[in-house]
Amino acid sequence: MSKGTTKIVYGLYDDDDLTIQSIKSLRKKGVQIHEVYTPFPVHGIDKELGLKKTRISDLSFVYGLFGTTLACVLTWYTMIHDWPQDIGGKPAYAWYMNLPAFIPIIFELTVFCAAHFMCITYLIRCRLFPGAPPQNPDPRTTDDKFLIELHTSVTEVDELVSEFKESGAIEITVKELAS
Amino acid sequence: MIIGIIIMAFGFYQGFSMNKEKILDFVQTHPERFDNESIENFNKKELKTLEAEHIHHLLEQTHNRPWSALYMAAFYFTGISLGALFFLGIQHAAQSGWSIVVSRIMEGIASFIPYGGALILLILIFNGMGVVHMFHWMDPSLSDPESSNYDELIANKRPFLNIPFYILRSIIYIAGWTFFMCWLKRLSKKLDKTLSLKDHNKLHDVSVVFISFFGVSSMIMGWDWIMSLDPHWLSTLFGWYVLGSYWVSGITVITLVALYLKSRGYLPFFNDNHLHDLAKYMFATSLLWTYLWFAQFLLYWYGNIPEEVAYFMHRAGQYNYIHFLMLIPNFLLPLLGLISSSAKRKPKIIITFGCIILIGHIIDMYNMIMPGSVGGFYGFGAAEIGSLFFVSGGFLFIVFRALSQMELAPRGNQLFHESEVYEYPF
Repeated sequence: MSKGTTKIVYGLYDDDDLTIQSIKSLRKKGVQIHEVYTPFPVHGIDKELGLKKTRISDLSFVYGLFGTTLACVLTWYTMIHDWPQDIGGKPAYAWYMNLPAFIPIIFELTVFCAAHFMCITYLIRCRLFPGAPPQNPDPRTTDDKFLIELHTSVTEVDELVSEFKESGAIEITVKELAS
Repeated sequence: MIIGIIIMAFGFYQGFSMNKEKILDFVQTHPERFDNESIENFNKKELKTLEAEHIHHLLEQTHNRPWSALYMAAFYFTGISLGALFFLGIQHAAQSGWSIVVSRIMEGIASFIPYGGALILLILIFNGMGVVHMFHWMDPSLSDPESSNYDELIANKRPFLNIPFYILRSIIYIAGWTFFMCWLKRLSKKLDKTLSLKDHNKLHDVSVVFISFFGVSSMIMGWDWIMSLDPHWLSTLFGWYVLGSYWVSGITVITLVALYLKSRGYLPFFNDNHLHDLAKYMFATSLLWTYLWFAQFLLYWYGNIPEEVAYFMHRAGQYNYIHFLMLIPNFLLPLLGLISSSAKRKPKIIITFGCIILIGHIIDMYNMIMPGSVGGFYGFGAAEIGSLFFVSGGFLFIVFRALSQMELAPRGNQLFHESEVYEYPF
C-alpha cells in the first residue's frame, strides 16, 4: 500500500465476463487491484490479475509423500514388527512381501493426508477459522455479484469511478480506508 | 500438401512393410528353426516323465509361436485403432469442444480396424479349423466324457466356448466396429459440406449407439480373444483390463500422430493446449490400466485359490515376473514423468513417454497372450519382431493413407472453432 492511499473504491458487477474485461482494462492503465470477490471460481481470472501460480499443488505432493510414509510405517509396525500376522497363508514377516496387501492402505492414507492437509493449509492461509469475522465487504458477492476492490488516493478516486462506470459496473461505492 | 502426405506415406511405409513381410514369411515357413533348441532343452529335462501325447502338445505349442506373435501384433494394432475409435465416440457423445481438432486423426487411426480385424479373424478361423492350436479349449476331445482328455471345467463352458459361436461372435465384433467406424467417418465428412445441425446431432446419436455396442462387445471380446487362451482361468474384469491396455495405447498413438503431423506443418491449429489435454488422458488411462491390473491381481493373490492363482504363478515362475516388471514402463514412469503440468506441454517429453507407454503395452500384450498359447517356448526373436514390424507397417500405411485422403481440419463441425481457440484455463 503506497503512501496517500486513503480511499477504497468498490465496483460491483453482475457478470463474470464484464468483471474480467474490467480487470483487463484497469490493469492496462496501471491500476493496482487490491482484491476481487466472486461467488464462484472464475476461469482465467488469476491470469488476468497477474497472480503467481499457487504453490498448493507442490505442497500437496509433499503432503502425499508424508501420507505414503505414514502408511508404510503404520503397516510395517502393526502388521510386521509389533505383532506379525499371517493372513491367508501369505509369506508374512517381511514388509515388502506383503506389499500388495498394503497398497490400498498406502493409497488411502496418501489421498487422505494430501486432501486434508491441503484443506487445512488453505483455510489457515485464508484466515478462515470457525467464528472468524467475514472479510467480505459485500454479502451479495456470495450470491450472484462480482466485486472489484481498489485502494487509492483521494486524487484518483474520480477517475477510477468513471472507469468503473464505463466498464459497466452496476454499483460503485467509495469508502474511507480504515487505518 | 495432401498429395505430399500420400506420396510420403506410400513410399516410406510401403517399402517398410514389404521388407518385413518377407521376414515374416521366412519366419513362418521355418518355425522349427527358431524353437529347436528349446525343445531339446525341454526334452532333456523331462523326457522320462512325458508321454508321447504331451510331446505332441508341446510341439503344437512351439508351432504356435509365430502365430501367437502375429496374433499379438495384430491384436495390438487393432486395439490401438479401437481405442482411438472409442475415444472419438466419447468426444462426439460428450459434445466436447477441445478435441475436435484431432478428431480427424482419430478417424484416421480407426481406419485400420477392418484390416487388423480381418487378420485376427483369419488366425481365429485357422484355429477353428485346427491348423493352429493356440486355443487349448478348441480340442473337441476335452468335452467328451469318454475321452481320457475329458476336462469337466472346459466341458461346462462349452455352451459359450464352442467354435461356431466363437467365430460368429468374432465376426459380429469386427463387423460392428467397422460399421460404426465407417458411419462416423462418413457423417463427419458429410458435415464438412452440409454444415447442418441435424448431421451434427446425428454424429452424437451414432456415437451413443456405438458406445453401447462397444461396451458389451469389448468386454466379451476381451474374454474371447485373450482370456480364453487360458481356458481354466477366469477374471470378470478382464475385458476392461484389456480395454485399459489398448485404450491408453490408442490415445498415445493419437498424440504421437498429431505431434508428427504438426511437426510436418499439416496440423497448424494443434497447439500446446490440445497436447496438454491429450497428455492428461495418457496419464489418466495409464493409471486406469494400473488400477485394473492391481484390482485383478490383488484379489487373486489374496484369495490364493490354486486354479486362480496359477495364472500369476505361471507368469512369475516361467516368465520372470513379467507381470510385475511391466508396471515400470506402464505405471511408474508415466506416473512420475507426466504428473507435472508443464511436462504435459513439452512435445519432447510426451514423445519419450509415449514411446515408453507403447513399448510397455506391447509387453502387456505379450504377457496376456504368450503364456497361454506357447507356454514355455517363449522368446522375443524374429517371429515377434517381424510380425510387429509387419503389422505396424501395414498399420502406419493404412492410417497415413486414410489421413492423406481426408481434410485434416473438420471445418464443418460446429465445435471446430471452439476447439481452435481452446485454451487450457489454469
